[in-house]
Amino acid sequence: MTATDFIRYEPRFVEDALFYALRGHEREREFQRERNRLYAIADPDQRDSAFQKFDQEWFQRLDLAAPIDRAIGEQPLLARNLARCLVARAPGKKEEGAELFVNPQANGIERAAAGIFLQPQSLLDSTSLLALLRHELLHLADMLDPGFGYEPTLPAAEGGPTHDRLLADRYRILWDATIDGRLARRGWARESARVERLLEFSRAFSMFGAETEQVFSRFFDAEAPSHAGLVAFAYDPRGSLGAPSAKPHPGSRCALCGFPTHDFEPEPDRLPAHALAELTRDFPRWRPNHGLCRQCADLYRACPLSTRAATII
Amino acid sequence: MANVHNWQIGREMNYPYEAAFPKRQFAFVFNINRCIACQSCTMACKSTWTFNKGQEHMWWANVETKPYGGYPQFWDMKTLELLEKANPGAQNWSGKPGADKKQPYGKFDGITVFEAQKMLTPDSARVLGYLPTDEEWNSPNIYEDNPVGKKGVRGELDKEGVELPEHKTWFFYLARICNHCSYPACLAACPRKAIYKRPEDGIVLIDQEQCRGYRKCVEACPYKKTMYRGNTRVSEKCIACYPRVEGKDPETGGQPMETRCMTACIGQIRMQGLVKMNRDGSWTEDRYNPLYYMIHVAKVALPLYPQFGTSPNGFYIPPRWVPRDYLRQMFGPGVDEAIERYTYPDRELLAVLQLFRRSNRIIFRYQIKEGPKVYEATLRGRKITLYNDTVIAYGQDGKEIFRTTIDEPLHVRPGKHANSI
Repeated sequence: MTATDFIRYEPRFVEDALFYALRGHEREREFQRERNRLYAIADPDQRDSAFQKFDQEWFQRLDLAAPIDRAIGEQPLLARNLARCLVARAPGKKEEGAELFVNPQANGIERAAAGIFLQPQSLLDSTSLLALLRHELLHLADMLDPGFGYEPTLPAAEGGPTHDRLLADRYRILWDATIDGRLARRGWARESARVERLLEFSRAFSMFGAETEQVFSRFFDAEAPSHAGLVAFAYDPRGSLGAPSAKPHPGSRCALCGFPTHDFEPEPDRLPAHALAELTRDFPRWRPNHGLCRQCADLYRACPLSTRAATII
Repeated sequence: MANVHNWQIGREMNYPYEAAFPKRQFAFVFNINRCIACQSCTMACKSTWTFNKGQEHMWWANVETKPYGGYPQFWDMKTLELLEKANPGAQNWSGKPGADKKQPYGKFDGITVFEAQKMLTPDSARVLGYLPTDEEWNSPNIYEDNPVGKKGVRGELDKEGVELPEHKTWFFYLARICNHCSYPACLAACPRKAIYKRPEDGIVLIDQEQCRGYRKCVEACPYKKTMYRGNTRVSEKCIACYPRVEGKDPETGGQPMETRCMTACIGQIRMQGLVKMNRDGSWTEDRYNPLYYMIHVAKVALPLYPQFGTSPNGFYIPPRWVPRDYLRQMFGPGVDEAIERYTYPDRELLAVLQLFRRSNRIIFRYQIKEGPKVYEATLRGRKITLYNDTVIAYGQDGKEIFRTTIDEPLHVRPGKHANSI
């Protein structure tokens, strides 16, 4: 399979990329002169095809795809495991990235394709583009690597949707740390990558306090992370390190409502029996050492009152 | 570069072509105080002109919530910033609004989009501008109804200051179409001369056969009212519903008719006209043309961002409740007087304001027949008196189109039909 077969470009992306690349370029007039001739084709479909062919030729002539080709070439897993890779326009800067698309009906290599979404003007800054693509494509390579063992959905959290979001956030931060760590060791990451990822990690896992950097290093400096390992840590950061789950750290999230708090219930094991019973009915995996915020504790303390009020109403 | 006179900025300015003016100019007045952002105008235009493949992102007519909204997003702020960058701290007006027809709003001492040579890239560019991103075109009604909050405090509304003259928590709706400028930036920027201004009515059009999709017009228009169509690879813009203006619509029997967006306006904020032009670009005195009266006599309607220098032919009656510094930036120094006159309208202005949307035909002249006194009161400390005058509208053929009174007819629904539609 040739690179042209494997990587396909959305025609509008190619056209817009050329438009930005050629503004003020020494070959702009030559490009326009050739392009203007195509307007003479009367049939709209034929004209559209002619524009697309013309744009593809100039796209190659100006070598605008070089960073994309290079980044894809650095991840041989992609070409081996994917049917094709489509490069298309991203509506905004925030939407730039890469996605894996899987067709469950198909078999073998036809099952999966990659989508790379970029703003056409991003091709003008090849250094930043390469950095973005390397990060994004390493995510895809992990997803295709049996050693990483990627699963598309995370297990549902006991605590409901709030916890699902919390866990997904933690998972993303951990995975990004391992990606940037590997890129840094290959000399492909920004110098500030470690500091930035550590900051992100320390915000998400504030329970580690002074140990944060040491724990962070287990991910940033890991050469062969696994999906299961990241999920386990995201679910139970202390437990997965083999450390007993200590009291929650001020600023960490309440195990029940998921909101960060500095005001944990001081002695959760001494809550009234009815409150503990109600609480464990709602959250079967909760244990007093997981802690809970004062608001949640008050809510369960007030359970009999609310129940009585409900019967009166 | 030619030297042309721009009466809206009260001075000569640079423009890539010699001045040339139509016999009559398409122009309009939008009364912002009345707009409810129902988007009837937006949809009337969309369903008439931009419903085809490749035009999905195109809204030739749109209504945005100011100050935060915009289509494309931040269109005005971005051009203002570019101009400020080109001429830091000097984008100011001098003089005062007055009777001088060459300088009705004073003189703009800053630079226009045609005068920022040092900022132009590449060197061949003629107009200062920028190309909006796809993202900026994507949300035509972004920040709808988002008001300005308490100054210096995020996420909080000012609970006081909801009284005129200025609200502290405020927004307003800005309805926009192409301004069919007298010095169009799109026309100036087009390297193929594919954009032209019709000599009969001043409507600015893009020749679809000549356009080669360079998007210089999109970049140049400070109001961002030319748009690129991806599938045909040419640019398109508001055509001012020219077949209607030409009187081709059967409804008006050959008489000039207002555009789709104007006639769809249920808030009665819009009036469109064809005004006579002098050879120097000023408006020929036409005392009883309603647009001439509102713009040059009563001076209640002001151009949108006159400092851009394109001499737009869209004029706005500014919203009374909005802080004046914001309005002065948007409509120039004439804002204070315009609001004063609109807030305490005289007998003639009240009558002219009744002409809005009583007919789909273009009004060329009005006449007022005085009626009896019907109301007398004090408004914000001033004595006001209302007379039930009759205002009569005449068309291009000199025949009466309609007549209406200040005191609007009132129909009381019979009790048995109350609450029924």
